[in-house]
Amino acid sequence: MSVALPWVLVAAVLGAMVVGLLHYLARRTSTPWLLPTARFLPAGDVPVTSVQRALDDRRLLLLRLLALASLALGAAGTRCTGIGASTRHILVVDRALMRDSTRWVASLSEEGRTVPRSAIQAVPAPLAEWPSLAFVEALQVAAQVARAEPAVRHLALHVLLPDSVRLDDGWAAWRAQWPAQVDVQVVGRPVDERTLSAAAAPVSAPEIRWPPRAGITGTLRGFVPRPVADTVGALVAGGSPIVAPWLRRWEAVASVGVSGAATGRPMAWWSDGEPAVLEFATANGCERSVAVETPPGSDLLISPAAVGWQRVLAAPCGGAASARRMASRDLMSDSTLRRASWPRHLSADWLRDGREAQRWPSPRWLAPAFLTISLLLLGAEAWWRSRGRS
Amino acid sequence: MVGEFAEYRLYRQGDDPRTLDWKLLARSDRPFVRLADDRAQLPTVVLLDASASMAFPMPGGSSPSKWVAASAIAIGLLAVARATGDPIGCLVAHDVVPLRMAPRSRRGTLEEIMHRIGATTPSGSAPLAPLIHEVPRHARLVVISDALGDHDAMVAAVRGRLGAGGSAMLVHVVAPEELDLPSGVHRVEDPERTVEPRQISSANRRAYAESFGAFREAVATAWYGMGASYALVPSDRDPVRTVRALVAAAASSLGAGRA
Repeated sequence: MSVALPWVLVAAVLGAMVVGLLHYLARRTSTPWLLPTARFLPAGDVPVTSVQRALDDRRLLLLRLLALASLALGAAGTRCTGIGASTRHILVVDRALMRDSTRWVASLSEEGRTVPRSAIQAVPAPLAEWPSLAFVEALQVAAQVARAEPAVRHLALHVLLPDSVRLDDGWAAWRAQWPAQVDVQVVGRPVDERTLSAAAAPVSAPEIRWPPRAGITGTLRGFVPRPVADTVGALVAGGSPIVAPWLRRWEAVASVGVSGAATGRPMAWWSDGEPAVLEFATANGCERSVAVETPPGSDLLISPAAVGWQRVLAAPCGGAASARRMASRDLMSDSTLRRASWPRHLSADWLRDGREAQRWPSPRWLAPAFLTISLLLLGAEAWWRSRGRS
Repeated sequence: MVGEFAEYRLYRQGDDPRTLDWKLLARSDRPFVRLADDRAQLPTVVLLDASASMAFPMPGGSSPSKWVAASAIAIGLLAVARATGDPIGCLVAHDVVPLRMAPRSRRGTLEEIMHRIGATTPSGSAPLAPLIHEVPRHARLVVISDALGDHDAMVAAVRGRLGAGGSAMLVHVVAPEELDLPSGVHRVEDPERTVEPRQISSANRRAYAESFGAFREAVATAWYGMGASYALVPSDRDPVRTVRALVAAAASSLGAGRA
């Protein structure tokens, strides 16, 4: 159990001390003491009240202290971490495998124990095409879980890959975004023969298509203009990110779900996982749609940080991020998946904004409950006080 | 004279001149009266003060109440007197149920007195002086009181008895709490409501000690001054030791009288 505003508790403790002191030193009508030799005391004004030095009205004091404690616990944003699952398991499943998600969820275990269904959040993603999307989706879901459920302390990532995937250069870069161990499992699935034959197409020089400049009407294959341009912090290509305040005006059609649109092969991604460069096979080779815009005169794409970008862009058709099918077990051999120096689970606090995370009580009903109890106790205190007077 | 000669005693003011032994006066130049058997049995009457002030300290206090101490001393003195064959009697000054037992020698008198005293609870503010007048003149009177009631009237009554040849003693019982007031500030009231409520504080503690000390001194002076005996007894003192001391003092005064 923790509190968001510890100073409220400190103030409550000080208040309790003041209340206790007032009880201890309350002025009350003094009980006369019978003394036969009272006549030998000098006559004078005798105060009717005296300072009480013995603790009195213990029940009233108890009610007041309990009301104060409830008020403080309610106002301090008390967080009970013991309520609800403390570890949430994020299961990123390939879309084709999602049909059997119930089976995968039921079979998910950790240290020999079956993970309860309530602690698992299954997320579908096109992992067969872009396996690194597992990390993108996982990070998004993890951030949502961490924000919405303050009781969650740790996040575990399980990735369910099909038997074969396309090579994904972004894997290592995105893998680094999840600084904890990852459980990757491979499930057998019929290989898409059409995709395999496409992947076996001859390699030739690519044709680069840049987006039309702002204000000029035009199209970009595989992309549609965004209703409102936004910004993104990094562009990942060739396994290395280029960090800059990128303006993003285009959106991959696969992301917006345009039916019937040809989805190209992504070769570079924005930091949120959205494709930034798509390659389409053509009769003469291939065509690459580059949805990346730089300010006029910018040297971002020729800077040393953009070596990966340049390599991707200059690669022959089907190169760099090869379209050939590779075994998912190659990804499983990634030594970082079970790196011992990384924690087994990702700490949810890592994904939380410190102030935001501590601002609200957990569970949400806790503060109203404390405040209600406090009101009830104050009512009882008033009733008890009026009863004592009557 | 009725009865057989028993002993001589120094003449006191008020003695019957016919009892003077003139021959002895001529030989010794000191006046002695002849006491017969019937007068040698000196009745002893205890007058107990059962006013509300004697109930102090209340039950639960650190010391026994003045009433408990006074009762024990009274019974002890009466037991000693009864053992020497003297008739014993008892008077208890109480507002509601005063006790009047004339001196007598028959068996069971002491037990009856014990029973009656044990059934008495101090209360009210009954005066003692009227009861003193009821005590036979030739009887030995022992007044056990805190002297906080009608003390002046009591002294006047005793003075009259002594003038008529009687003897008297005051056992002045005080509680330790009266001698040394408790610390702190307290609002106090007289259980007999003789004065308005007062306050104990560090400022008036010294004045109280001086005033109460002067009162005790005045009481002692008054009793000694009229030829009576006086003893100040704290209520927490062992009653057996107190009775022994009182009997020894009475015997020595009697011896001095004989000498």
